Amino acid sequence: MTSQPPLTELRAHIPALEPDPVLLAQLVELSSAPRPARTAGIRVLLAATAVAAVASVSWLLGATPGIESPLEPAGGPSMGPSLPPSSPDGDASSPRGAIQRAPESTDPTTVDPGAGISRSAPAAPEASSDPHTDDAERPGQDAPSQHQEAPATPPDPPATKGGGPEAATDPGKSGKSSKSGESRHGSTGSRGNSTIELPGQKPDPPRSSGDRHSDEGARDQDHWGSGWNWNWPDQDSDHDDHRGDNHSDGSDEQSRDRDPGSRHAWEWRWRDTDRRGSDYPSAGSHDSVRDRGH
Amino acid sequence: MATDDDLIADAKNGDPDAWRALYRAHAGRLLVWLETRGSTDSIESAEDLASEAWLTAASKLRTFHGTSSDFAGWLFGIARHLAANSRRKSGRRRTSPSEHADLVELGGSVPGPDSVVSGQDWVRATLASLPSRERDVISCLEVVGLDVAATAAALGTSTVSVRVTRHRALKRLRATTPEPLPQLT
Repeated sequence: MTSQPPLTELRAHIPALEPDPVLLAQLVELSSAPRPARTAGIRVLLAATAVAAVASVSWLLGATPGIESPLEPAGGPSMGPSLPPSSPDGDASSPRGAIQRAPESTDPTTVDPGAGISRSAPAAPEASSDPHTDDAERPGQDAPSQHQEAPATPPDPPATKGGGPEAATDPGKSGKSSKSGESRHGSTGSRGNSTIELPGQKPDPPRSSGDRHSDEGARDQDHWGSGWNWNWPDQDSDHDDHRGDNHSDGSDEQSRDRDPGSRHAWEWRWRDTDRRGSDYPSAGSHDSVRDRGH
Repeated sequence: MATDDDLIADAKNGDPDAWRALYRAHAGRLLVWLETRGSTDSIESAEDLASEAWLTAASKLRTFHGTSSDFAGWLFGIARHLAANSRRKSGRRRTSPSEHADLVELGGSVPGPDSVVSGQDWVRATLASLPSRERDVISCLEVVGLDVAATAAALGTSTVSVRVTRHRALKRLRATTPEPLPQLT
Protein backbone atom coordinates (compact mmCIF):
# COMPACT_ATOMS: atom_id res chain seq x y z
CA MET A 1 0.00 0.00 0.00
CA THR A 2 1.42 3.26 -1.07
CA SER A 3 0.91 6.27 1.08
CA GLN A 4 -0.83 9.09 -0.65
CA PRO A 5 0.74 12.49 -0.46
CA PRO A 6 -1.29 15.30 1.06
CA LEU A 7 -3.39 17.50 -1.12
CA THR A 8 -1.56 20.70 -0.52
CA GLU A 9 -3.82 22.63 -2.85
CA LEU A 10 -6.48 22.24 -0.23
CA ARG A 11 -4.43 24.22 2.21
CA ALA A 12 -6.17 27.50 2.87
CA HIS A 13 -4.53 30.80 3.37
CA ILE A 14 -4.67 31.41 7.10
CA PRO A 15 -5.11 35.10 7.89
CA ALA A 16 -3.36 36.61 10.88
CA LEU A 17 -6.15 38.12 12.87
CA GLU A 18 -5.71 40.62 15.66
CA PRO A 19 -8.05 40.35 18.60
CA ASP A 20 -10.61 43.01 19.10
CA PRO A 21 -9.88 45.07 22.22
CA VAL A 22 -13.30 44.41 23.62
CA LEU A 23 -12.98 40.72 22.99
CA LEU A 24 -9.48 40.69 24.46
CA ALA A 25 -10.70 42.44 27.59
CA GLN A 26 -13.42 39.87 27.96
CA LEU A 27 -10.95 37.04 27.52
CA VAL A 28 -8.70 38.46 30.19
CA GLU A 29 -11.59 39.06 32.55
CA LEU A 30 -13.02 35.60 32.11
CA SER A 31 -9.69 33.86 32.50
CA SER A 32 -8.70 35.81 35.61
CA ALA A 33 -12.03 35.39 37.36
CA PRO A 34 -11.78 33.66 40.74
CA ARG A 35 -12.63 30.05 40.89
CA PRO A 36 -16.15 29.42 42.03
CA ALA A 37 -16.55 28.27 45.59
CA ARG A 38 -18.54 25.21 44.72
CA THR A 39 -16.18 22.52 43.66
CA ALA A 40 -17.08 19.13 42.35
CA GLY A 41 -16.78 17.59 45.81
CA ILE A 42 -19.26 19.99 47.28
CA ARG A 43 -21.66 19.28 44.45
CA VAL A 44 -21.40 15.56 45.01
CA LEU A 45 -21.94 16.08 48.71
CA LEU A 46 -25.02 18.17 48.10
CA ALA A 47 -26.43 15.59 45.72
CA ALA A 48 -25.82 12.79 48.20
CA THR A 49 -27.45 14.79 50.97
CA ALA A 50 -30.49 15.46 48.83
CA VAL A 51 -30.83 11.80 47.93
CA ALA A 52 -30.47 10.78 51.56
CA ALA A 53 -33.11 13.29 52.62
CA VAL A 54 -35.59 12.06 50.04
CA ALA A 55 -34.91 8.46 50.98
CA SER A 56 -35.38 9.20 54.67
CA VAL A 57 -38.67 10.97 54.12
CA SER A 58 -39.89 8.15 51.91
CA TRP A 59 -38.91 5.64 54.55
CA LEU A 60 -40.60 7.53 57.33
CA LEU A 61 -43.78 7.99 55.36
CA GLY A 62 -43.85 4.34 54.40
CA ALA A 63 -43.70 5.07 50.72
CA THR A 64 -41.01 2.49 50.15
CA PRO A 65 -42.62 -0.75 49.00
CA GLY A 66 -42.07 -3.62 51.33
CA ILE A 67 -40.75 -1.53 54.18
CA GLU A 68 -43.07 -0.42 56.89
CA SER A 69 -42.80 3.03 58.29
CA PRO A 70 -41.43 3.24 61.84
CA LEU A 71 -43.87 6.03 62.60
CA GLU A 72 -46.91 3.97 61.80
CA PRO A 73 -48.89 3.33 64.98
CA ALA A 74 -49.11 -0.32 65.85
CA GLY A 75 -52.04 -0.52 68.26
CA GLY A 76 -53.88 2.72 67.90
CA PRO A 77 -57.61 2.97 68.42
CA SER A 78 -59.64 2.07 65.44
CA MET A 79 -61.71 4.70 63.72
CA GLY A 80 -64.45 2.36 62.70
CA PRO A 81 -68.09 3.10 63.27
CA SER A 82 -69.11 2.56 66.84
CA LEU A 83 -72.12 0.41 67.33
CA PRO A 84 -74.78 1.38 69.78
CA PRO A 85 -74.99 -0.25 73.16
CA SER A 86 -77.01 -3.36 73.09
CA SER A 87 -78.52 -3.68 76.48
CA PRO A 88 -80.27 -1.36 78.82
CA ASP A 89 -78.92 -3.41 81.68
CA GLY A 90 -75.24 -2.69 81.95
CA ASP A 91 -75.69 -0.57 78.92
CA ALA A 92 -72.48 0.55 77.35
CA SER A 93 -74.02 3.94 76.89
CA SER A 94 -74.77 4.14 80.54
CA PRO A 95 -72.03 5.47 82.72
CA ARG A 96 -72.18 2.48 84.94
CA GLY A 97 -71.20 0.00 82.32
CA ALA A 98 -68.48 2.13 80.88
CA ILE A 99 -66.81 2.85 84.15
CA GLN A 100 -67.01 -0.51 85.72
CA ARG A 101 -65.63 -2.34 82.79
CA ALA A 102 -62.64 -0.15 82.56
CA PRO A 103 -60.46 -1.92 85.13
CA GLU A 104 -61.55 -5.34 83.91
CA SER A 105 -61.02 -4.89 80.27
CA THR A 106 -57.31 -5.36 80.21
CA ASP A 107 -57.54 -7.93 77.50
CA PRO A 108 -58.37 -6.17 74.27
CA THR A 109 -59.65 -9.34 72.71
CA THR A 110 -62.55 -9.60 75.15
CA VAL A 111 -63.74 -6.07 74.67
CA ASP A 112 -66.45 -5.38 72.19
CA PRO A 113 -65.74 -2.75 69.60
CA GLY A 114 -68.87 -0.72 70.16
CA ALA A 115 -68.51 0.28 73.78
CA GLY A 116 -66.36 3.30 73.26
CA ILE A 117 -69.09 5.89 73.43
CA SER A 118 -70.17 6.28 76.95
CA ARG A 119 -71.22 9.09 79.12
CA SER A 120 -68.90 10.38 81.72
CA ALA A 121 -71.16 9.73 84.63
CA PRO A 122 -70.55 7.78 87.78
CA ALA A 123 -71.19 4.12 88.03
CA ALA A 124 -73.67 2.24 90.07
CA PRO A 125 -72.19 -0.38 92.30
CA GLU A 126 -74.74 -3.05 91.60
CA ALA A 127 -73.83 -3.17 87.96
CA SER A 128 -70.51 -4.78 88.75
CA SER A 129 -72.23 -7.68 90.38
CA ASP A 130 -74.62 -8.10 87.53
CA PRO A 131 -73.46 -11.04 85.44
CA HIS A 132 -75.21 -9.64 82.40
CA THR A 133 -72.96 -6.64 82.28
CA ASP A 134 -70.11 -8.82 81.23
CA ASP A 135 -68.29 -7.72 78.12
CA ALA A 136 -68.77 -11.00 76.38
CA GLU A 137 -72.50 -10.49 76.28
CA ARG A 138 -72.43 -7.08 74.73
CA PRO A 139 -71.76 -7.21 71.07
CA GLY A 140 -71.66 -3.53 70.31
CA GLN A 141 -69.16 -1.72 72.42
CA ASP A 142 -66.03 0.11 71.65
CA ALA A 143 -63.19 -0.76 73.93
CA PRO A 144 -60.64 1.94 73.13
CA SER A 145 -62.98 4.83 73.83
CA GLN A 146 -64.09 3.09 76.94
CA HIS A 147 -60.55 3.04 78.15
CA GLN A 148 -60.22 6.66 77.40
CA GLU A 149 -63.13 7.78 79.43
CA ALA A 150 -62.74 5.45 82.33
CA PRO A 151 -59.87 7.26 84.06
CA ALA A 152 -61.62 10.60 83.77
CA THR A 153 -64.61 9.38 85.77
CA PRO A 154 -63.49 6.83 88.26
CA PRO A 155 -66.20 4.77 89.88
CA ASP A 156 -67.58 6.41 92.91
CA PRO A 157 -70.31 4.33 94.44
CA PRO A 158 -71.29 6.78 97.19
CA ALA A 159 -71.68 9.51 94.64
CA THR A 160 -74.21 7.56 92.66
CA LYS A 161 -76.57 7.27 95.57
CA GLY A 162 -75.94 10.71 96.91
CA GLY A 163 -76.26 14.03 95.31
CA GLY A 164 -74.40 12.93 92.24
CA PRO A 165 -70.91 13.49 90.97
CA GLU A 166 -69.53 16.75 89.83
CA ALA A 167 -69.84 15.75 86.24
CA ALA A 168 -73.58 15.55 86.65
CA THR A 169 -74.09 18.67 88.70
CA ASP A 170 -71.70 20.85 86.77
CA PRO A 171 -73.63 22.41 83.91
CA GLY A 172 -70.60 22.52 81.71
CA LYS A 173 -69.74 18.93 82.23
CA SER A 174 -73.28 17.89 81.88
CA GLY A 175 -73.27 19.65 78.61
CA LYS A 176 -70.30 17.59 77.56
CA SER A 177 -71.98 14.45 78.61
CA SER A 178 -75.08 15.33 76.73
CA LYS A 179 -72.99 16.04 73.74
CA SER A 180 -71.43 12.65 73.85
CA GLY A 181 -74.83 11.19 74.32
CA GLU A 182 -75.99 12.99 71.26
CA SER A 183 -73.21 11.58 69.20
CA ARG A 184 -74.31 8.20 70.32
CA HIS A 185 -77.82 8.95 69.25
CA GLY A 186 -76.48 10.00 65.96
CA SER A 187 -75.53 6.44 65.30
CA THR A 188 -78.56 4.91 66.99
CA GLY A 189 -81.33 7.16 66.04
CA SER A 190 -83.92 4.43 65.93
CA ARG A 191 -83.11 3.44 69.42
CA GLY A 192 -83.23 6.97 70.71
CA ASN A 193 -86.79 7.24 69.58
CA SER A 194 -87.76 4.00 71.22
CA THR A 195 -88.74 5.58 74.49
CA ILE A 196 -91.22 3.56 76.43
CA GLU A 197 -94.61 5.01 76.12
CA LEU A 198 -96.17 4.91 79.49
CA PRO A 199 -99.82 5.23 80.27
CA GLY A 200 -100.94 8.78 80.49
CA GLN A 201 -98.02 10.15 78.59
CA LYS A 202 -98.15 12.11 75.44
CA PRO A 203 -95.20 12.70 73.22
CA ASP A 204 -93.65 16.09 73.11
CA PRO A 205 -93.22 17.95 69.87
CA PRO A 206 -89.80 17.75 68.29
CA ARG A 207 -87.29 20.18 69.64
CA SER A 208 -84.32 21.95 68.33
CA SER A 209 -80.84 20.73 69.00
CA GLY A 210 -80.20 23.48 71.50
CA ASP A 211 -83.18 22.44 73.52
CA ARG A 212 -81.95 18.91 73.43
CA HIS A 213 -78.67 19.87 74.94
CA SER A 214 -80.19 21.93 77.65
CA ASP A 215 -82.71 19.26 78.47
CA GLU A 216 -80.01 16.69 78.50
CA GLY A 217 -78.06 18.56 81.12
CA ALA A 218 -81.13 19.14 83.22
CA ARG A 219 -82.11 15.55 82.95
CA ASP A 220 -78.71 14.44 84.10
CA GLN A 221 -79.02 16.64 87.06
CA ASP A 222 -82.42 15.27 87.86
CA HIS A 223 -81.30 11.78 87.29
CA TRP A 224 -78.39 11.87 89.66
CA GLY A 225 -79.62 14.43 92.09
CA SER A 226 -83.29 14.43 92.72
CA GLY A 227 -84.29 10.88 91.92
CA TRP A 228 -83.91 8.29 89.31
CA ASN A 229 -87.33 6.84 88.59
CA TRP A 230 -88.82 10.04 87.32
CA ASN A 231 -89.76 8.59 83.98
CA TRP A 232 -92.49 6.39 85.30
CA PRO A 233 -96.17 7.19 85.62
CA ASP A 234 -96.03 8.05 89.26
CA GLN A 235 -93.57 10.89 88.68
CA ASP A 236 -94.40 14.53 88.77
CA SER A 237 -95.11 16.51 85.69
CA ASP A 238 -91.69 18.17 85.46
CA HIS A 239 -90.11 15.05 84.17
CA ASP A 240 -92.78 14.38 81.65
CA ASP A 241 -91.16 16.84 79.33
CA HIS A 242 -88.45 14.37 78.60
CA ARG A 243 -90.57 11.45 77.64
CA GLY A 244 -90.89 12.30 74.03
CA ASP A 245 -87.37 13.59 73.77
CA ASN A 246 -85.14 11.89 71.35
CA HIS A 247 -82.51 11.69 74.01
CA SER A 248 -84.26 9.21 76.16
CA ASP A 249 -81.22 7.04 76.15
CA GLY A 250 -79.38 4.79 78.49
CA SER A 251 -79.70 7.13 81.40
CA ASP A 252 -83.45 6.76 81.27
CA GLU A 253 -83.13 3.09 81.04
CA GLN A 254 -80.64 3.08 83.79
CA SER A 255 -83.03 4.88 86.04
CA ARG A 256 -85.61 2.27 85.33
CA ASP A 257 -83.08 -0.36 86.22
CA ARG A 258 -83.17 0.88 89.77
CA ASP A 259 -86.63 -0.53 90.07
CA PRO A 260 -86.15 -4.14 91.13
CA GLY A 261 -89.12 -5.36 89.22
CA SER A 262 -88.24 -3.67 86.02
CA ARG A 263 -84.68 -4.70 86.35
CA HIS A 264 -85.66 -8.28 86.30
CA ALA A 265 -87.61 -7.57 83.20
CA TRP A 266 -84.60 -5.94 81.57
CA GLU A 267 -82.48 -8.90 82.34
CA TRP A 268 -84.96 -11.16 80.76
CA ARG A 269 -85.16 -9.00 77.72
CA TRP A 270 -81.40 -8.82 77.45
CA ARG A 271 -81.13 -12.57 77.31
CA ASP A 272 -83.80 -12.65 74.72
CA THR A 273 -81.97 -10.08 72.65
CA ASP A 274 -78.79 -12.06 72.73
CA ARG A 275 -80.52 -15.14 71.56
CA ARG A 276 -81.98 -13.30 68.66
CA GLY A 277 -78.65 -11.81 67.81
CA SER A 278 -79.86 -8.24 67.86
CA ASP A 279 -77.94 -5.36 69.27
CA TYR A 280 -80.77 -3.76 71.13
CA PRO A 281 -84.38 -4.51 71.75
CA SER A 282 -87.14 -3.57 69.48
CA ALA A 283 -90.25 -1.69 70.43
CA GLY A 284 -91.99 -4.93 71.20
CA SER A 285 -89.46 -5.83 73.81
CA HIS A 286 -90.06 -2.51 75.50
CA ASP A 287 -93.68 -3.33 75.70
CA SER A 288 -92.90 -6.64 77.21
CA VAL A 289 -90.74 -4.93 79.75
CA ARG A 290 -93.44 -2.56 80.65
CA ASP A 291 -95.88 -5.36 81.03
CA ARG A 292 -93.62 -7.40 83.18
CA GLY A 293 -92.40 -4.59 85.32
CA HIS A 294 -95.85 -3.29 86.11
CA MET B 1 -1.83 15.29 32.73
CA ALA B 2 0.08 17.58 30.41
CA THR B 3 1.78 20.54 31.92
CA ASP B 4 0.99 23.99 30.80
CA ASP B 5 3.54 25.89 28.85
CA ASP B 6 4.32 29.49 29.62
CA LEU B 7 1.79 30.84 27.22
CA ILE B 8 -1.06 28.86 28.70
CA ALA B 9 0.06 29.61 32.23
CA ASP B 10 0.12 33.31 31.53
CA ALA B 11 -3.26 33.15 29.89
CA LYS B 12 -4.64 31.47 33.01
CA ASN B 13 -3.32 34.36 35.04
CA GLY B 14 -5.15 36.81 32.83
CA ASP B 15 -2.20 38.12 30.87
CA PRO B 16 -3.47 40.08 27.84
CA ASP B 17 -0.28 39.45 25.88
CA ALA B 18 -0.66 35.74 26.26
CA TRP B 19 -4.21 35.93 25.03
CA ARG B 20 -3.18 38.08 22.13
CA ALA B 21 -0.54 35.54 21.14
CA LEU B 22 -3.03 32.69 21.38
CA TYR B 23 -5.50 34.59 19.32
CA ARG B 24 -3.00 35.34 16.60
CA ALA B 25 -1.95 31.71 16.46
CA HIS B 26 -5.40 30.10 16.33
CA ALA B 27 -8.11 32.58 15.49
CA GLY B 28 -7.49 32.57 11.72
CA ARG B 29 -7.40 28.81 11.52
CA LEU B 30 -10.49 28.50 13.59
CA LEU B 31 -12.38 30.90 11.39
CA VAL B 32 -11.27 29.16 8.20
CA TRP B 33 -12.15 25.83 9.62
CA LEU B 34 -15.63 26.99 10.59
CA GLU B 35 -16.11 28.46 7.14
CA THR B 36 -15.01 25.24 5.53
CA ARG B 37 -17.35 23.13 7.54
CA GLY B 38 -20.22 25.29 6.54
CA SER B 39 -23.26 26.08 8.60
CA THR B 40 -26.91 25.47 7.96
CA ASP B 41 -27.79 28.46 10.09
CA SER B 42 -27.31 31.60 8.09
CA ILE B 43 -28.05 33.81 11.07
CA GLU B 44 -25.14 32.68 13.20
CA SER B 45 -22.04 33.14 11.14
CA ALA B 46 -18.63 31.58 11.52
CA GLU B 47 -17.40 34.71 13.19
CA ASP B 48 -20.06 34.47 15.85
CA LEU B 49 -19.19 30.88 16.50
CA ALA B 50 -15.51 31.71 16.69
CA SER B 51 -16.04 34.55 19.13
CA GLU B 52 -18.27 32.39 21.29
CA ALA B 53 -15.67 29.65 21.22
CA TRP B 54 -13.00 32.06 22.41
CA LEU B 55 -15.15 33.29 25.25
CA THR B 56 -15.98 29.78 26.29
CA ALA B 57 -12.34 28.83 26.18
CA ALA B 58 -11.45 31.79 28.36
CA SER B 59 -14.04 30.89 30.98
CA LYS B 60 -13.01 27.21 31.01
CA LEU B 61 -9.30 27.69 30.66
CA ARG B 62 -8.69 26.61 34.27
CA THR B 63 -9.82 23.13 33.37
CA PHE B 64 -7.40 22.87 30.48
CA HIS B 65 -3.89 21.56 30.82
CA GLY B 66 -1.47 21.36 27.92
CA THR B 67 0.58 23.26 25.50
CA SER B 68 -0.40 25.88 23.00
CA SER B 69 -0.70 23.22 20.32
CA ASP B 70 -3.04 21.26 22.52
CA PHE B 71 -4.96 24.42 23.12
CA ALA B 72 -5.75 24.55 19.39
CA GLY B 73 -7.41 21.16 19.45
CA TRP B 74 -9.28 22.04 22.63
CA LEU B 75 -10.46 25.31 21.12
CA PHE B 76 -11.58 23.61 17.93
CA GLY B 77 -13.49 21.08 19.98
CA ILE B 78 -15.35 23.87 21.74
CA ALA B 79 -16.15 25.43 18.39
CA ARG B 80 -17.39 22.10 17.06
CA HIS B 81 -19.79 21.69 19.97
CA LEU B 82 -21.04 25.23 19.55
CA ALA B 83 -21.58 24.67 15.84
CA ALA B 84 -23.54 21.52 16.60
CA ASN B 85 -25.71 23.43 19.05
CA SER B 86 -26.22 26.11 16.46
CA ARG B 87 -27.37 23.57 13.92
CA ARG B 88 -29.85 22.07 16.38
CA LYS B 89 -31.22 25.48 17.25
CA SER B 90 -31.56 26.43 13.62
CA GLY B 91 -33.50 23.25 12.97
CA ARG B 92 -35.98 24.15 15.70
CA ARG B 93 -36.19 27.81 14.91
CA ARG B 94 -37.27 27.42 11.27
CA THR B 95 -36.60 30.99 10.34
CA SER B 96 -36.30 32.29 6.83
CA PRO B 97 -33.60 34.93 6.94
CA SER B 98 -33.01 37.25 4.11
CA GLU B 99 -30.32 36.70 1.63
CA HIS B 100 -26.82 37.81 2.38
CA ALA B 101 -26.69 39.87 -0.79
CA ASP B 102 -29.59 41.97 0.38
CA LEU B 103 -27.83 42.70 3.64
CA VAL B 104 -24.71 43.76 1.82
CA GLU B 105 -26.67 46.16 -0.30
CA LEU B 106 -28.47 47.65 2.66
CA GLY B 107 -25.66 47.86 5.15
CA GLY B 108 -22.57 48.35 3.11
CA SER B 109 -20.58 46.56 5.79
CA VAL B 110 -16.87 46.68 6.11
CA PRO B 111 -15.21 43.62 4.59
CA GLY B 112 -14.15 41.26 7.32
CA PRO B 113 -12.29 37.98 7.44
CA ASP B 114 -14.97 36.40 5.31
CA SER B 115 -13.50 38.06 2.30
CA VAL B 116 -10.27 36.29 2.96
CA VAL B 117 -11.94 32.94 3.25
CA SER B 118 -14.27 33.48 0.34
CA GLY B 119 -11.46 32.59 -1.98
CA GLN B 120 -11.64 29.08 -0.73
CA ASP B 121 -15.01 28.36 -2.21
CA TRP B 122 -13.68 25.71 -4.47
CA VAL B 123 -12.21 23.97 -1.45
CA ARG B 124 -15.61 23.88 0.15
CA ALA B 125 -17.13 22.63 -3.07
CA THR B 126 -14.57 19.88 -3.21
CA LEU B 127 -15.07 18.89 0.39
CA ALA B 128 -18.83 18.93 -0.02
CA SER B 129 -18.69 15.55 -1.73
CA LEU B 130 -17.20 13.96 1.36
CA PRO B 131 -19.08 12.63 4.30
CA SER B 132 -19.16 14.93 7.26
CA ARG B 133 -16.70 12.92 9.27
CA GLU B 134 -14.13 12.84 6.51
CA ARG B 135 -14.77 16.46 5.69
CA ASP B 136 -13.98 17.50 9.23
CA VAL B 137 -10.78 15.52 9.27
CA ILE B 138 -9.62 16.88 5.95
CA SER B 139 -10.52 20.38 7.03
CA CYS B 140 -8.49 20.16 10.18
CA LEU B 141 -5.51 18.37 8.72
CA GLU B 142 -5.25 19.69 5.17
CA VAL B 143 -7.07 22.99 5.13
CA VAL B 144 -6.07 24.65 8.40
CA GLY B 145 -2.98 22.58 9.13
CA LEU B 146 -3.66 21.07 12.52
CA ASP B 147 -1.67 18.04 13.54
CA VAL B 148 -3.22 14.66 14.14
CA ALA B 149 -3.38 15.00 17.90
CA ALA B 150 -5.05 18.38 17.74
CA THR B 151 -7.46 17.09 15.14
CA ALA B 152 -8.32 14.13 17.30
CA ALA B 153 -8.90 16.44 20.25
CA ALA B 154 -11.00 18.78 18.18
CA LEU B 155 -13.19 16.04 16.77
CA GLY B 156 -13.38 14.00 19.95
CA THR B 157 -11.84 10.88 18.52
CA SER B 158 -8.59 8.99 18.58
CA THR B 159 -5.52 9.67 16.52
CA VAL B 160 -5.80 6.29 14.80
CA SER B 161 -9.30 7.07 13.73
CA VAL B 162 -8.15 10.40 12.41
CA ARG B 163 -5.47 8.77 10.32
CA VAL B 164 -7.78 6.14 8.89
CA THR B 165 -10.43 8.71 8.11
CA ARG B 166 -7.89 10.93 6.40
CA HIS B 167 -6.72 8.07 4.22
CA ARG B 168 -10.22 7.22 3.13
CA ALA B 169 -11.09 10.85 2.47
CA LEU B 170 -8.09 11.44 0.24
CA LYS B 171 -8.81 8.29 -1.70
CA ARG B 172 -12.36 9.38 -2.25
CA LEU B 173 -11.27 12.83 -3.37
CA ARG B 174 -8.88 11.46 -5.95
CA ALA B 175 -11.54 9.19 -7.29
CA THR B 176 -14.12 11.92 -7.64
CA THR B 177 -11.96 14.74 -8.89
CA PRO B 178 -12.27 15.11 -12.69
CA GLU B 179 -8.74 16.18 -13.12
CA PRO B 180 -6.05 14.59 -11.08
CA LEU B 181 -4.89 16.83 -8.39
CA PRO B 182 -1.26 17.76 -8.60
CA GLN B 183 0.74 15.67 -6.25
CA LEU B 184 3.38 17.43 -4.35
CA THR B 185 6.24 15.59 -2.87
